[in-house]
Amino acid sequence: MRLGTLFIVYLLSTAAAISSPFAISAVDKRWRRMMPVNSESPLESPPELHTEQPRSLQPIPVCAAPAVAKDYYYDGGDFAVGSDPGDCAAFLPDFKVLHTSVGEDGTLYLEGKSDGQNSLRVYSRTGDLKWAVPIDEIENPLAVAPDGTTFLMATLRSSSTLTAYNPDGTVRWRVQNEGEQFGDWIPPAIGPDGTIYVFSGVQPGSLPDCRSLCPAILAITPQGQERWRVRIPRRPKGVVVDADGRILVNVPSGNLIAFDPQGHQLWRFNSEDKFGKGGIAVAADRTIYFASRFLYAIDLNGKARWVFKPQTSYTEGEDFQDDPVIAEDGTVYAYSRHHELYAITPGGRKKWVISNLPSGGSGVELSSKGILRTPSAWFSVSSGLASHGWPSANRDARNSRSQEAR
Amino acid sequence: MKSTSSPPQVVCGVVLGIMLQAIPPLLLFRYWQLHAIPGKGPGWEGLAGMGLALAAVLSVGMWQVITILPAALLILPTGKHGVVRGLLYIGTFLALGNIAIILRIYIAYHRVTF
Repeated sequence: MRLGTLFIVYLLSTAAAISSPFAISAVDKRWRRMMPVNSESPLESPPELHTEQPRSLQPIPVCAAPAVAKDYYYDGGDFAVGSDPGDCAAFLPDFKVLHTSVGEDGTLYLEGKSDGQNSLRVYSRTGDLKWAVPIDEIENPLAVAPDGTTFLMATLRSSSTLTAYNPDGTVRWRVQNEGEQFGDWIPPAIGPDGTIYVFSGVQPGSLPDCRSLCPAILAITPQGQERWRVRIPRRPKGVVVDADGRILVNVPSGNLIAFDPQGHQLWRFNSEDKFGKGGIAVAADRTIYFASRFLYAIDLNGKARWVFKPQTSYTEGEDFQDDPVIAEDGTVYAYSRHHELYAITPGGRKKWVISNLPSGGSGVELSSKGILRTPSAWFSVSSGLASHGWPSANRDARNSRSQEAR
Repeated sequence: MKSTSSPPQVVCGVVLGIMLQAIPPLLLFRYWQLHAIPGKGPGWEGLAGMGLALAAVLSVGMWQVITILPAALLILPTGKHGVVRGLLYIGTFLALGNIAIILRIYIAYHRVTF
């Protein structure tokens, strides 16, 4: 090539390299504005915003369990959120509670720390200590079966252990796997037949095509026997079970995998989200709501029934990543990255939206009494948390994580 | 001075072109130090203040402009056309490669889908 020609080629390619980021950006912006989003007007006006502590709730607080950006309060067999943590001082002055659940009979289960010692304390609904056991870790929420059996997952020295405690606090059984949970905690979930589903790393050779420590879902019978194990692509963000016993595993980013109660994969849904962790909730009619950039309503066959895309989804990167909650009337509440709270009808319409909520924390919670709470505000809505399906992160207002019926 | 375009000279230009790529990051590092915020040490706050101008300088095509183009223009009058040719080859290769990388990054991380 002649030197002059080479010079021109060089200059043109350099000019193209300089301009390409700007050209791509311009084309991308135009492309994003063309994307179909939900720009409809809300069907109704939003409820009154309360940025202070909830006052409509007057629970009888016997404990406060500060979790991530939220407080649970026990109220005569029910859970509520908000109010004043100072109310707990008389009941548990020396016990820092991290997770809490309530049994069907009102028994209160508290995971916490006192004098540097982690323990699981169990109280009657009158506030009397029933039993307490030292535990290795308090970071992992427990699951409570209707008969009062408690299931707790712990990881210690590169092994994960699922422990079943009898209602009197004795250990019924332990199941150990020589493979840690790989980091954050994935609490157990109880299916309709009492099977406990846990996530654990498993050793090479224990699953087909597993040549190193592999992430897996394990099904454990109520008697402590492993029923099956199935490999999943990577560490999940959450495991829930629907009323039919389908196990739904949220595997970041953007994958929702459904298994039948025998461990066979039913389907796999991919939202094409590349970064987020996502969240799941299951409605009474079996519709799965998958928050993964957008909010997807997924049917029994793993197909999207509808997709709710906030108006600024493409132009400003608005998205949903936290577990949505479902009210008894079917309304789905989802909190967005840009601190907007959406109420979405079961048909995918925008019921109402509240923008510009104070920042800080993420997620949304709904009490059984209809108090809807974001990290910085609360609202009173017409319908409380749904009583069927898996309508919130820990299934119900008791944080039972159990689909089993008594 | 004899004007040649021998393979050794082309190789020399290519090597020189690659070595010159170190200049922009060194300049950037120097700028980063100059804009240190008292009490916080060298920081990205000062760097970010450059805004679009920095983005343009940092844009991968400018990398070639502020190194290879001046070098090629300086060497051209000396008659070492082989060196100039090598510089232009490496510059063209890097510029086209950068476009491919930018497109790849965009497709992998930013491209939106319906």
